[in-house]
Amino acid sequence: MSPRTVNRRDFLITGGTAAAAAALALRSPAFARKLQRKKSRVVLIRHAEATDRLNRTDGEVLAGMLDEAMAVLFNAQDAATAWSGIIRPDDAVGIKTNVWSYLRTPTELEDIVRARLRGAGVDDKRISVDDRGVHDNAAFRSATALINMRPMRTHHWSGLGTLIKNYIMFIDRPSDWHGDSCADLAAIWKQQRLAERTRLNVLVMLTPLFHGSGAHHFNPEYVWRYNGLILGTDPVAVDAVGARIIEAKRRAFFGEERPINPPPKHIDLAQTRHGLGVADPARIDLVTLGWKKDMLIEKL
Amino acid sequence: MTIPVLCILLTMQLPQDGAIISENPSFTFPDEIAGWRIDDRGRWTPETLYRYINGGAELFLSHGFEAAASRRYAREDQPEITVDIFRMQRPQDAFAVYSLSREREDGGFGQGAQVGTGLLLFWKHRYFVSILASPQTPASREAVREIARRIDAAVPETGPLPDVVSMLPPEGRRSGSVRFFRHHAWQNVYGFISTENLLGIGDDVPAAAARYNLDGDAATLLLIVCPDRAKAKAGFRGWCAHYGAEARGDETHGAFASVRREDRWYAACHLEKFIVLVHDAPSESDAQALVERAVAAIE
Repeated sequence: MSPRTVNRRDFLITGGTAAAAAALALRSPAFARKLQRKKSRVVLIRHAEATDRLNRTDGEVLAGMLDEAMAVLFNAQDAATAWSGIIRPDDAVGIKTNVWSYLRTPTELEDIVRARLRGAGVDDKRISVDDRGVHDNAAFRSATALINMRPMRTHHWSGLGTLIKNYIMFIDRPSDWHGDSCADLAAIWKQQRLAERTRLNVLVMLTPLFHGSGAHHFNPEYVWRYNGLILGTDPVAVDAVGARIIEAKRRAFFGEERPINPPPKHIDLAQTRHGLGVADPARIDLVTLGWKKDMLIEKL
Repeated sequence: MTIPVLCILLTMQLPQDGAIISENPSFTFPDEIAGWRIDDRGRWTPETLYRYINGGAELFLSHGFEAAASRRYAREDQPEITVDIFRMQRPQDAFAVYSLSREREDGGFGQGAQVGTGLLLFWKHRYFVSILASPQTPASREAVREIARRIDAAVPETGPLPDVVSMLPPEGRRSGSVRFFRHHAWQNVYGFISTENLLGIGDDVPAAAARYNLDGDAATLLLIVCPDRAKAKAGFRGWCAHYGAEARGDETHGAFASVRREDRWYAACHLEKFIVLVHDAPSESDAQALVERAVAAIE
């Protein structure tokens, strides 16, 4: 892993409020989120070798990235301590993944998270991974903890496929939420205690899709090896950081302002209308780790 | 069940490729090409397209979609190749979908093509064709081109561009930037205007948009053709109300409005059954000049 942007001492100094909240998060993530109302901590970590030239994921590198980011996000001694802080051995855990065929959550990441959950004492039989079947999946209905992880991509209806949107599959009729550019997706999180049960959000930015075109809204020319993961307990803050990176990439690629269409308004509305988290850059404590080249975001 | 009856039933279930390219019923997808063999096949109607294109079917359904056929080809140690042929009602529908899918013009196939790394798109007559192979390899690149050549050759006719596209002034227009649409969702293609249909764009109100170079800067030109003057007037007034701009001039001989938003200029003109919009121009004079060029091209 390449040198960090912020060393641990800097992090502890600059992240005062968030660090205190994160320490409490080791005991209660939900309580920590409430304490983080003024600042939501988000960790962006990158590694130049997370993917190869064919966009294939290097599982070993990815595991190292996740571990380092987890320790920093929760201000823990190491990743195992962080996982033990947010997951109890008696938890039943649902990993909400995303299987869109052109850009799915890497199976390597699913395997790594499953292994870390086992490391935290959770029996493998109490860990479920699902995407489109979660609505009817009894394991997800009864899960006491959820891990939400998906790649970021542009999207026909919502502007961006986000962590917030990833929970739309918990709904009986997802198309009912497509109106007004999916403005109210955050309301889904209030159903089935989804917000309360979610312990971690991982936005996969290994090869994000920054522009949609073609018959399937997927053009390989519009993905790039950003080689990043963005972690946080606040899905809105994580999505807001991801959206900034996508916007910056579009600006750089097209050489002019090319706003995401439709605008991903559901991210801002998740804060202003639904109170799910914070999208306001002034209220996001972004920590960047690892590979710095073409990071596209220095600070918020 | 006897074997002959079973054979007949299986044959009936096979997609009829030739029916997709109506003008060339003898067309069939190759079973094998450069080592890739058919792994999956599909045939889609307006009722089923949304199952195939997750979230993107509206683009086709709002532009005269009739039917589609798809094939997925597989070869060991190579990426899958997905071939889709979409049959639309009219050539202008095929161009609409193509124009909203490509970012540049590379040529070489059909009446317009974008030949990218892993995705080849082209349109011809009333067909839009998409061939996806990601990540691209040297072998898949050649296979994709060979499939495209065969489909191109199987469509005997060409079709005209939509009239509204032909009215866009060519000077300063960026290659590959022209968009054509008949649904208001795509009015935001070069910058957000509204989720509402304030301009009245629809089946009988086609629109075109393009980017224009302006001395190191750029602006967007939108041209909307209404069926009559009253609808154009309503759309123009809707734009003025939305942007808080005051109309000047005579609506019979041409009304004009402009407004400044965050250091960029937005202008609109209503002339007979046409609405001309210039968005995101660096100055009011630039916006006005581009409007005048568009009006001159119409006249």
